[in-house]
Amino acid sequence: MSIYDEVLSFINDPRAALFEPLALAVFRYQFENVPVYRQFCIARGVSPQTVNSLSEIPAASTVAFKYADVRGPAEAVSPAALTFTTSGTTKGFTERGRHHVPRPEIYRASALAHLRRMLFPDGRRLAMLALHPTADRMPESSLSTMVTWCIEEFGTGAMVCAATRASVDTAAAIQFLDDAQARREAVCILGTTAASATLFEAVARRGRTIRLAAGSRLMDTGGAKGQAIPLTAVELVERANQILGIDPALAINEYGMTEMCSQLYDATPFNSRLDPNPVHALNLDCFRVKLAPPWLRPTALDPVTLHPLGDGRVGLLAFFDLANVGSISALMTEDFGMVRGEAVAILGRSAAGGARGCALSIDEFAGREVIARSWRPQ
Amino acid sequence: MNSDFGNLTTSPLDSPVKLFPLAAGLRVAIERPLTPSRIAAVLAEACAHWRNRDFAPRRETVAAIAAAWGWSEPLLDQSIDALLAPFNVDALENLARHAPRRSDLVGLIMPGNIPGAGLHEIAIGLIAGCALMVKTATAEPIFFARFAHTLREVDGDVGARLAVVNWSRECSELTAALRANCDWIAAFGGDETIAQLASTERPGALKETGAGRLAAGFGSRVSGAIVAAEMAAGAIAAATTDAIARDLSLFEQQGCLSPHHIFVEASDGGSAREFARQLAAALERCAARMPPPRRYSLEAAASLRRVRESARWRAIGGDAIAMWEGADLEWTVVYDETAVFTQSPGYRTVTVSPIVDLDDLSRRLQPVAGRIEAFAIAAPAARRERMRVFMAALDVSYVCEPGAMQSPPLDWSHGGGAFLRALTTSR
Repeated sequence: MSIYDEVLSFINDPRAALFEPLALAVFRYQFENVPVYRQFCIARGVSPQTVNSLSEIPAASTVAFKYADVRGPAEAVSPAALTFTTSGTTKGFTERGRHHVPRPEIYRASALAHLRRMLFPDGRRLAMLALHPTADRMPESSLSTMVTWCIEEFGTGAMVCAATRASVDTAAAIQFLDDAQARREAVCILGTTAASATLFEAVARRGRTIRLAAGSRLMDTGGAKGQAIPLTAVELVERANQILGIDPALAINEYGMTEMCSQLYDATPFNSRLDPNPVHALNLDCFRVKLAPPWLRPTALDPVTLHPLGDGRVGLLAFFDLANVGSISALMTEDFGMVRGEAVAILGRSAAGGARGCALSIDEFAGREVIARSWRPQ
Repeated sequence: MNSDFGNLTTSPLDSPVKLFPLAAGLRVAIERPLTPSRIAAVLAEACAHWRNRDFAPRRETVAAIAAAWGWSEPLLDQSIDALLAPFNVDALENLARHAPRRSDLVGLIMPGNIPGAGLHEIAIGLIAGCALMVKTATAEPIFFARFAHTLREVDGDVGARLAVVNWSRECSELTAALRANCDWIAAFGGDETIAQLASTERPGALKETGAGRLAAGFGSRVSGAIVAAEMAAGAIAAATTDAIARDLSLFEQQGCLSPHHIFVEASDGGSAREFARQLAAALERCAARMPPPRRYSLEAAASLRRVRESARWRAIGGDAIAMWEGADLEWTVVYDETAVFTQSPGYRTVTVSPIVDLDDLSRRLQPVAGRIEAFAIAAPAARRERMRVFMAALDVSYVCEPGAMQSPPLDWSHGGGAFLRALTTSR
């Protein structure tokens, strides 16, 4: 069985005890087969001979995908292989990252399995409204691909994609939602936080809210990126309820990135028995915690030493993503967060990281930056 | 950054009303005639006390800032030594002879990035005959509070012309009251802070005794260095790198005088790269004398980490980049052959690039045009003047040799000379 098949098998039937042995096998594979990662490890004085546990696997910064050709062996690349590009930073297109995914079926399995757990735990199929371009419109976008897979897997067939690279067609989106309301058919809305905010504004502007059927839900991603006046996570859930009638427990934020084939989603009473209150779960005053799938191991790293921090301490978020088997699985992000078990609190992006991600694809010319609280040199 | 300075500083003000009696006291103090030479002598004595590392208020100040910020005491001591070096009797007397004569009440909104930033303006303002209401930053409320105390002990009349107050920048009603009570203000801060102050030119919900105009705003400025080919090789390179390493280590590279990018004249990349390697070794030596911070804010650490990871992966990706890094985040040197001026997050993080000539340098300085505070020039005497003229054409405020960047003279045109201009022109 190839390492790819082993990972796919784990995603289909995750067993916690097997995670670390498989992660070590994936590390060995990537060390041997992804030249730039091997170079990185050697420079750090790390090799498969020196690594005995998950915490010893060096995490590569996500900027690796921007500056280096992160690619595995040619023989592992399937005919269906995909290459995704990051949507750039607010600086423009010059610093786009590229993630080559040699075996997209693993990405698909990862994305759909966790979507099933977090967004469709009730097993329903729904009418689908995409507020982000689908893969046919934006094939280089990993979010587009994921949205398309979601529509294929969990949709009823009734769907509208109300987004292009340039804009959100709010008129088409509202028409679709009005029709669904009239039919009393539940809808799943998929898109960026910025696109959701645009839809809310458009509905509010016309002066008549929508009351979607019970079971309707919203998956948004991207946070403040690309929004002229960013909605907070709390505000987004409130607006989804006030403007579209979506139950707050069914307004679920996704945390993902082009460089990673697995995603995390808000834990709510709809999808989790975890205490949804982060004050209880993490002793942390934030809105919600997110849950990682069993094949994605989150850690917070001390940014000074890069050592893993204990549960409940704030650091740079890092992940070991088995689904990234074809590129680099041990990744360090530029986001601050806290981890306890499978629960992760995303606390924001370092100012140095700049705004990035899918939301910018629609509004990347706005030139807005995510501003984190920081003490800046004068 | 922890800002718990206990009882070493003034208590934060909580009401705009409390500023009025302070301002009234300062105006009374202005009316008491004092000669510029007397003020200069008092400042010289106070600074002499503060140059003594064993002076109790200095020790308490250094210890408190070290504890609150995590910076090492040796680093703070050497930084304050560098800051105070130009404040000697001769220089202050000379300033007294040439300073404009004023009798304004000036508000100074001080920065919180490094201790003592703004001391030049305090000296010039006092010697000119002004009284100063100094609003310190929440992050660094102690240096000027303690210095003002020393001034009062040396000479009560001169000390009475300096009041040090503190409140958080969120207390906008207090900032408005400061402006309402002062004839004009000068402010140090980020560009956003300065823009915000400039956008509210006429505060004054309170009874106005002054105009409160923002006459001098010191926003974000950056510094760098150029190293002539003759100074970048051989035995002299060690002295050059040691001096530059000191310049960028002092104040943990958080001030506007700290170099961010070093440009090395080189006909090929190899010699500039070797210079970068030597600079890394010099930073390591510097770290032994002036230990790096014991801790970093999460934000600062993430910024440093980003510099390193970007350089690391650009190198792996084939760019003409090399990096040397100290343990943890102690110091970082990035050799980047093609970089334009690159701002550093500080904490001894620097970019080194080769340049062909001054035209090449001019192109690389474009991103920071008009925002350059200081440039160190390491060049043989015969070539230094041409480089100095080049820097003057770029409106660089302070040009010096490596090792002197943190010790600008008293008549330094800080921020392009905005404060001096305000003293000459404000009405």
